Amino acid sequence: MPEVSPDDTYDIVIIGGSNAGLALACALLTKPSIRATSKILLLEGGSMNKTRIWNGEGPWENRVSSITAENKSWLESIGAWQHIKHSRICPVEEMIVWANPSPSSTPTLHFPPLGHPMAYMTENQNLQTALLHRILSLDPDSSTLKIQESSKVTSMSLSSSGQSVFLQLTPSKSTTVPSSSSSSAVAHNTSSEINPNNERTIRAGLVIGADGPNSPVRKFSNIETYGHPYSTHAIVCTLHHPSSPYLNTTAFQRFLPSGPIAFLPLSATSSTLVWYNPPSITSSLKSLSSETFTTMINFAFSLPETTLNRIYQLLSSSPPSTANLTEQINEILNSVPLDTQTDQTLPPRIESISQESIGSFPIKMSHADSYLGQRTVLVGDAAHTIHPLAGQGLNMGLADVRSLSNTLEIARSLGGDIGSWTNLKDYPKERYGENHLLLSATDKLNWVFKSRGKVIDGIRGIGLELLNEIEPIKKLFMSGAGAYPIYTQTSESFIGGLKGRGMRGTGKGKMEMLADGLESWWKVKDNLGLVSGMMRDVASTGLKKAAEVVEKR
Amino acid sequence: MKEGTSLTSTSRFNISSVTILHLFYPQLGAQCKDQDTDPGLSIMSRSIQSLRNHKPSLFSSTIPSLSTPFSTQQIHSRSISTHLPTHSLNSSTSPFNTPTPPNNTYSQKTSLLSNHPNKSHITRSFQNSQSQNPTSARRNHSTSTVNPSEIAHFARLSSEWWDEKGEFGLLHRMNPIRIEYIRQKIQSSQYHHPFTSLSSEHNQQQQQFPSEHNKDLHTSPNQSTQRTQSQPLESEECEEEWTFSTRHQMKEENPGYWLSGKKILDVGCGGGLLSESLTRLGGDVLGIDASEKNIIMAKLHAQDGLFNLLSSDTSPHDIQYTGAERKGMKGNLEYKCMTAEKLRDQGKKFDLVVSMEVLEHVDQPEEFLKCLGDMVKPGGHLILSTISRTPLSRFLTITMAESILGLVSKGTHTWNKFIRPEELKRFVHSDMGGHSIWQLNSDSSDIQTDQVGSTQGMLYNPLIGKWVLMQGVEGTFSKKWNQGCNYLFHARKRREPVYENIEGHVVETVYGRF
Repeated sequence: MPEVSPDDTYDIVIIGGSNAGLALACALLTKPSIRATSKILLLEGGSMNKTRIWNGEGPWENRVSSITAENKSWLESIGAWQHIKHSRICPVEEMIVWANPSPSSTPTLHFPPLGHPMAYMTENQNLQTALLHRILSLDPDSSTLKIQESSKVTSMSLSSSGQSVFLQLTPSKSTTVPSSSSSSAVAHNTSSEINPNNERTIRAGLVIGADGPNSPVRKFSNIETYGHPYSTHAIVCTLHHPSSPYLNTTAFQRFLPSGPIAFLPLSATSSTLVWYNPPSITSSLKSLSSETFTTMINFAFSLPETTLNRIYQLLSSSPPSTANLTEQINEILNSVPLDTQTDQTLPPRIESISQESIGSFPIKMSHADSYLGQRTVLVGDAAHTIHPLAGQGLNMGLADVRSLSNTLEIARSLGGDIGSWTNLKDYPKERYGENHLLLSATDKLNWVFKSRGKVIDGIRGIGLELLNEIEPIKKLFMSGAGAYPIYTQTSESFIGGLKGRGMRGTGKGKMEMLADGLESWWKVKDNLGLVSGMMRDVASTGLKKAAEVVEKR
Repeated sequence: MKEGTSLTSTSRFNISSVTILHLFYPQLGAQCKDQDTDPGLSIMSRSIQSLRNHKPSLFSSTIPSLSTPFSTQQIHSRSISTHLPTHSLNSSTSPFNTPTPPNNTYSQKTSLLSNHPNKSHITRSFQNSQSQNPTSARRNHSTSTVNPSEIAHFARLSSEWWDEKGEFGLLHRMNPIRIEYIRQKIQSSQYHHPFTSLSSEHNQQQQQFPSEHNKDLHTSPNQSTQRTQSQPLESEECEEEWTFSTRHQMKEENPGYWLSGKKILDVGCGGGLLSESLTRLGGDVLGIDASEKNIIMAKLHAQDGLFNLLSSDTSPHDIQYTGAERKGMKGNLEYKCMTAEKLRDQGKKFDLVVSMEVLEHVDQPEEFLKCLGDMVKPGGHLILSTISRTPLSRFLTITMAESILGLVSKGTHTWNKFIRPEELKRFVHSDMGGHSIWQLNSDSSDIQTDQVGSTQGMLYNPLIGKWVLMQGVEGTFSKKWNQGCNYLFHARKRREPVYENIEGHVVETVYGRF
């Protein structure tokens, strides 16, 4: 067991200084007991200089997320929202989701304005900077929280008594933060230059993995994940359009057979695009000229599916030369009448795109088997990745952070060992089921809208019709997606101790009820065998247990 | 009792000082019985000797409310050197500026008290194994409340203490709720609740109207003026009064370190589950257990974990938590393999004495309880948890937990040894000094004239995997039911003993003094 000085011993080590990690650090600093008693280290592999100096100017970042009203009010309560650059956020008041399976039908899901924004679009950078500033204002002299940048964890090991984790740190040579490609000029003035080969060991009572989808902490903890890749890549880019008489506060999403395309407002004249396509089509689209791509986006929202399918066929066929492809597409586009659907509300017509903002990434659904390892916890993307079509990925991460910080605070206020399983188990209990429901509901939503066929079209039409007509159901759906500013799901009712948590009912939230409905429908559809198998299992183990008892007597 | 009659009725001091000496030096009671010499004298002188032997500073530090002009130190040195006969201490010309009671009725009652048979309960309860009488000492040592077979049983399990998913998993889960109960009881008591500690308030009232009272008294005028000067306003450790505006502040005090500065004894600490938590909260904790293996286990664990971000020169006996050190509110943890009786005989006192899930395992719960009670400082707390003797507890702890589910190994519990909440509360009333020594229940619904302290049930909810602290009003069916298995007990010692009148009623009640 390596010797570790008390200076290098921490109660909590958070690995990953992006959204979830920073939010957790910030949340922990607002918790009185943790604040008073604990020593926290935030480890980030890259440099955070970009986050530190970002001032809300310059072009829009392409990594944009929605923050639900529920999470926004939580961020307000920890004092981070006040540091957000308000010129760079955009409220979403209204949401229109539709598909167009046949020229005659456009099943639409319309979420009308609630009187308050249901979500806010913000660049991830904006949120991270706000969180970092809040951390620095809460703990200016780093007495509780230390931030260590440009350090990588090379190995982790559990101490022999199982009461702490040793982490081997090494300065990372390259500053590879996904979004910081342009910031390399200012990135190299940190400790990595001062001590080039300074390996050191630190000790932690609890390691929190906020280290993204390929979480090293998860691997160290031997936690498996399950899920499936969607064989889909998302293209993101910033769109420019003239300002319209209407406020640009409506999010649009159209489900195409290949995947959804979403228009998310950023400001009066800018919006962001997220377009999900199979990888081959994605690469073809990225190779198009800026003008053709702009036209493609406009048509992707407005053209009937039949026409679009022709373009898709063209794009997915053996990759033709770029010039040729553009010509061919233009040919198809010219052949269709431009007066398309007039009964459908459409996003503003896009004039141009920012070429440098185009990016793409693969989409995967995955969920860790467990959030707890031996003295390790997973939050955010390390625990789950979700199809971004519902904009819930970051929000689930923030909800995790909310729950985990409350769990840790309660444990600490009662003198508990915050790394122990008994004290941490509330966190997965609160979050695992909920995250799982959101994951599978989103997965199914994707399936429901993507599928094409006479029967499914009909059912979907009726279902959406019903959903649109019956206000209460829609309301339930919205509150589950966090569209209401009061966050009630987590244990904020906690009043200085166990009581709030202990007495908290096990009753299900509204979203859970709804998702349960969806779930059971799904199960009935194709999992009847599984259910009956489980019943058999339960019955037989029960009998076995009973037999054992009888034998004992 | 004999010395009671010899005390002059106008002297409040004599009775209280003797009683307090009883409180601290329980062997006094035994001596009274064994020796027929002038009991008052022998009590005084011996207690002073033992006091000197143990801790001279104990008195002045632990009885702040006694900071009358006669300092306690003064009395003792004086009585030792001069061997004053008891009655001279009581005379009105006493050099100690004896305070006068406010009116006749009260003084009558205090004198009545000394004849009251209940008084013997107090003295009896403080009989002690360390008595100078050899026979009684032998008797008490042989009746150490520890059961040898029980110790062996737990030593076997000691390696599993810290396995959260093993034998003690239920105990690990119980830990938060125990601490929560302690928090509720201790933190709420940091506020001076109008109903719970009336003695100091009453003193204030006395001071406000000294002249009115003194008109009725046949006392010399200079005495009354002396009294006015002498009466302490409040105890040193000022407790804020509970008001609506302070109701929230209770939880905000000292977050994370709300036990800071408190001396805590954990009797039957086992692997140290509770002790470590108490230490993290800033407490100055001593954990004792009769099993050597448990203590070794506990020491190892505390030394090894993060808990022990030790500075280089610390020994297992001096474990410090740097998190706390950093903020200057460090907790301390010490483990000793010894019995509660032995510790009591060393004269140790604590702000908080806890003994969780131990009472049902000891052979002589009476002796054990008295012993714990002795070690509580005036103004300190006694918190226990144990199991009630009901069909429900038999079903849950023995049938379910041991036989069917196998959560706890067989033989852990003996149903006949369980104690019911009302038995426990009545015992503290009848044999441990009753309301003269222990405060009235803080929850007015729980006030029972023949019971001391309050109890609250806790039940394991398997659906949420947690123990739940049950609420309920004393006397209702639901309360009876929900403390039918595991329950917690709390009693707080008065800063200064008060007396019962001849009917056995408490002189000071919620309604004022009768």
